This record gives sequence, C-alpha cells and structure tokens, in this order.
Amino acid sequence: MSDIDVSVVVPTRNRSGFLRQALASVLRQEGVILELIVVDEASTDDTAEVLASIRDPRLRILRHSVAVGVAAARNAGAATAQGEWLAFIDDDDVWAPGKLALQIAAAAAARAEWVYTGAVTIGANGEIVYGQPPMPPVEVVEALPRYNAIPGGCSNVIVRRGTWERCGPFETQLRNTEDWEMWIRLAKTGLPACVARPLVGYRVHATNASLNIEQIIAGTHAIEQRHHTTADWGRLHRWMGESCLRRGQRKAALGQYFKAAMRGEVRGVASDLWQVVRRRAGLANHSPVPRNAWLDDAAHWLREIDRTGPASAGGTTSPGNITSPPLTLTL
Amino acid sequence: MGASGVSVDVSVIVPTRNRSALLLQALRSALRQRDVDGEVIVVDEGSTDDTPRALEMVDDPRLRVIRHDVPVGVARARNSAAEAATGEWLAFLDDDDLWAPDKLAEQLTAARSAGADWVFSGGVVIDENGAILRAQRPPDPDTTVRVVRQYNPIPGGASNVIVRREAWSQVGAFDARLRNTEDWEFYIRLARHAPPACVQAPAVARRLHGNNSTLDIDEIMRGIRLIQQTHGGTPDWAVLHRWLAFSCLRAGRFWKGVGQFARAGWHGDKNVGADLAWLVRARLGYKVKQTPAAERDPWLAAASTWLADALVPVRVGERI
Repeated sequence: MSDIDVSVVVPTRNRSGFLRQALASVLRQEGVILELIVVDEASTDDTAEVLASIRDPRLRILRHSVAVGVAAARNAGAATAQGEWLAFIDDDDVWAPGKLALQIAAAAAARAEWVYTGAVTIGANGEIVYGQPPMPPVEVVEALPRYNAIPGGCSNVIVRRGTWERCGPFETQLRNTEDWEMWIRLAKTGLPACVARPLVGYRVHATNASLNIEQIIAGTHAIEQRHHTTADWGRLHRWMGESCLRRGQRKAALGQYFKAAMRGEVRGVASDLWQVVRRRAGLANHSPVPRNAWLDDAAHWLREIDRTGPASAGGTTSPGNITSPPLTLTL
Repeated sequence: MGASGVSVDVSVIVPTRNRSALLLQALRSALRQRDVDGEVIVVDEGSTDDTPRALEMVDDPRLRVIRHDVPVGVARARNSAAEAATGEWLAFLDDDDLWAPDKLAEQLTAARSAGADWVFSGGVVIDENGAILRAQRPPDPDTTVRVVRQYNPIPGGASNVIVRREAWSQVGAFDARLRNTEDWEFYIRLARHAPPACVQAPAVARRLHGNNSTLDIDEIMRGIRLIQQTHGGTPDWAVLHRWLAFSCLRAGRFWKGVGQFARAGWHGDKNVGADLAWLVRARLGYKVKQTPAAERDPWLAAASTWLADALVPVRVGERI
C-alpha cells in the first residue's frame, strides 16, 4: 500500500494566478506526506504552463478536455487518490502551513473520520475580510441539516478515504451547495474533529463561482428533500443578500434581505443594512476587521503566503469589490 | 451513435497508454455504435507516443479526453473517468479490444427488457492479426451469479459489461488494489447487487498480443486471495490455473505454463490431456486455435463478419 498521508484534490479552471498561490500553500504543508492532484477543467489560459513550471514530484495533473463541473472534477480527482486522507482545496483558496498535520492530529486524538478547521474570508490580495472561530463539533452536526455550518467552502474538511468511498462522492447535480450536502452525509457517519484555529483562507473575489441564486435555492430544496430537513431560509437569504452586495447587485441584495426579514431574520438584516448605511455615510472604519488574537493567527500565516508570490496576473480580479468592508455573516 | 444530447445513454470509458494504433481501432468501434447516444471518454495514462496527437485529430464532439500526466493504473483511470461521465450507463473498453457495431444497442435492449442493472455479451479472443483464437459463449445469468465467486465466467475482460451508472455508485468503483483481476472483483459485487442480463452474440473481441499488460502470476495469485478474503467463496483453482497456464503460454513462458497446467490437473481440471496436446502443437510452431472454423459455426461467423471491418487499420489523422 502507499504511504501517502493525504491526497489533496484541486479542481481548477482559468485561474492560473490564484492557482499558483493555492498550490504553493499545499506544497508547503508541514509534517505530512502528500500527493497533489490538480484537475484542470479544460483551462484556456496559461494554467497548463503554470502547472508545468511546478517541478514537484508530488504533483499529478488530470486534464479534462471538456469541463465537467467542479463537483465531478473533484470526484474524478478523488477516484485516483492513494492517500489515507482526502482533502480538497479550491483554486482560489489558501491553507496555513500546518493545516493538514493539525487536522490529522486532531482526528487521531478524537478518533474521528473527518475533521474541519476555522476559516477566514480573504480578499483578492489576501487581506482578511471576515473571520470567526468555528462552532464546536456537536453544534456543527446539530446545525448542518439547517445550514452549512462549516466555513471555508470546500477547502476545509478532510476525510478518511475509506469513509469517503462509503459515503461520497459529491452530488454533481448540485451547484454551490454540493459541499454542504456532502457534510450532511459525513455528519451521519459520526462526529467530526475540529481544529479551532483559522487554517483556511477562503477567498471572495469578482470571479468566484458565479452566484446563481436560483441554483442555490434549487439545491437547498433538493437537500431538504433528500435529507428530510428544513433549511434555515432566513439565514440563507441573508447570506445571499450579502453575496449580492459584494458583487454590487444592490437590487437583488435588497430582495434577498427582504426575504430574509420575512423569514424572521429581522435583527440580522437590520444590522447588515445599518453597516451598509454607515459605510456609505463614511462612518465605518476602513480597517475592515476589528482585530483579535484569533484573527491575528490567520494574519500571521497569510503574510507568509503573500510573500510566496502575488496572486495577481491573469487578470482574474476586478478592482472595486475587493475593499468592500465585512458583513458579519456566514451561511 | 447519434449526436450526444444533454444526457446520453452510454458513457464509454477507454483507458489507454502508448498504443495509439490499436486505440484508434478501438475508438472507431466505439464511435460507430449503432442506435445509441453516447460519449466516449478516453483516459490517457501519460502516453509518451503519439497518442495525444492521435486523439486531437479525432474530430468528433462525442470524444472527451482526460489526460493523467502520471499513470495511476487502469482501475483508477477508469474510476476517474466514471466520475466525469454523464451517461445513464457506463461501458468500458480497453484500448486493444474491439466491439461489434450493435454491441451497446443490443445490451441496452437486453438490460431494459430484463430490468437488469448490468449486462454482458459473448466474446471472442483474437490474435495480433485478428484471427479468432477462441469463442467464448456467454454463461447464462443464473450460472454467472452462482459461479462468479469461484472464477470469472464473463468473457472479454473489462471490455464487455455495461452497468447503469446508478448501480455503479451503489456497488462502488474498481478496486485499485488489484491488477488483472479488478474486473472479476467488480463482477462479484455486481452479482451480489442484482442478476445480470445477457446478450448471446459475440460482441467483444479481446486481443492477445505481445503487449498485453505484463503477466505477473504472483500479482494475480495475490489478487485471487484478496478477492477470496473480501468476498468469501472458494476459488475454482482448476479453472484459474488453466487460465493462468494459457496466459503464460501467451506471454511466451512455456515452462511456467506447463507448471500451471499441472496445478490445474491436480485440482481436477478435465481438459489437461487436450491442453497438453495443444502445448506440444504450440511448441512445434502450430497455431493454438481453439475454435472450429467460422464457416461451420454461425455464431462465430457473426463475429468474423464485423471483425473484418473493425480490423481495418486506422492511421493517425484519418477520419474514423
């Protein structure tokens, strides 16, 4: 058998600038033997050259001549994995150097089959936009049927490959919600372990997988049906309102906030809108996030990531939405 | 096959490595399937010959390519393609094998009328010149389910069975720990899931040639034991050793082959006498052809008819 600890699967498409940073943060992982499987979804930019320039025997590339979608791409990569653990990271996110080792240690201590950690939301240039310590495992498992309580999108959780083979793969019919659905399934296998430190940088930028509200709503309905649950629609609409704002879609945002308020999120919505008003009135502080020790932990390793090379090039970001101040929300 | 729509009937998965000439023949036999909407997903396992160019030159929107820069083994290659497949059914075709033009259509008809989740057909074994060496009539579905833990009764290696993608998700992917026996292990799980349907016709041609995946007897024996551990049942050593014996002969390892025949005989194989006669003939340079002449057997004649077309050589860049 192979002695690889972790197989890391990275689906990518036309984001060579961010990808370089994501891969560097994987290849710099400390204290684990890993293989890195990049699934190139028919990129037409210089992704192939960027990948070719990385001379690391741990890197393997699957190239799809036709894009099959991020969930199927992750599944395809995972199907070739040889490690004891399986990890996913999206091409625009970054990891702290000790992320995998700390998660594996936490899982071993808790005898858990899957592990999550904390995540901070970062902007195109790696600046922290938002972050809050993750909920403890019992609360996460309790909350998952209602909303996605695990921060950091698909770049957070690692799972034992044997468990993945039993309860995976990602549901390819879902868009944007496939990670949440997967965590619900994982939660049915048992309690996860948790590393409460902020070890994932989850990037929000102009070219994030486009926010398709209809798809997310349809996905949430599908999840409700499949898992016989009721989603927390107030929270969901509020999150979509915030996402719309971030993309400058004010009218759509207002609609989502209205729906959220109708679903009982009145106070949350009011607080979000108050933030918007303050910001527009120039009252808001421009240093985005009030600092605390937890965020400083993230800021510390994010500085190192920044030093390893700029994410830029590739023209993947548009200025303007980057500096938008935080709205204290997660889905 | 017709043009592929939003969702297709069959996704055909073809793992390949450094066999561009044979691959193009295999692909042609897949792309020329009649009355089926399909897509063909070639998994190029880090080929270093002209395979990438040959694939680029195939001008067909139904063809998709997944290229692994580092080979991951045939089981993982098939599994990764299956995750990227969109068809209602999954079919597998090895890069050196060939299909009859009606294979998929007949299998779909048989499966649908039987309400089955998986289906196989008969097959033939051919040599590198395309001459038929063996006829492998398919076992009936009941027999298959009964004996599948003792030996692999399904002809055509991995190039035969097609399986509903939903059943594939339930049953699980090819076991990447196995070499050469991963198809057999997969059929054991399928048989436990549901009984198969069957197409009588010889719709698969499995090619024996110098480059067949290197024969590693120890590896195969390890696989057989692993399968036995996982699934229980008693391997039919007579059948298995006889199969290994022929594999050895094919690989030019005469004395190993004799050893395997001896073991088969020890375990009660009734064919040992005939086999030894074959051995002597092979040693003397005669062709080991275990079939009656096609003209005296209509079942075989059907195979030689479509084989004649399928075996026409294809050059890189030629329209297929």
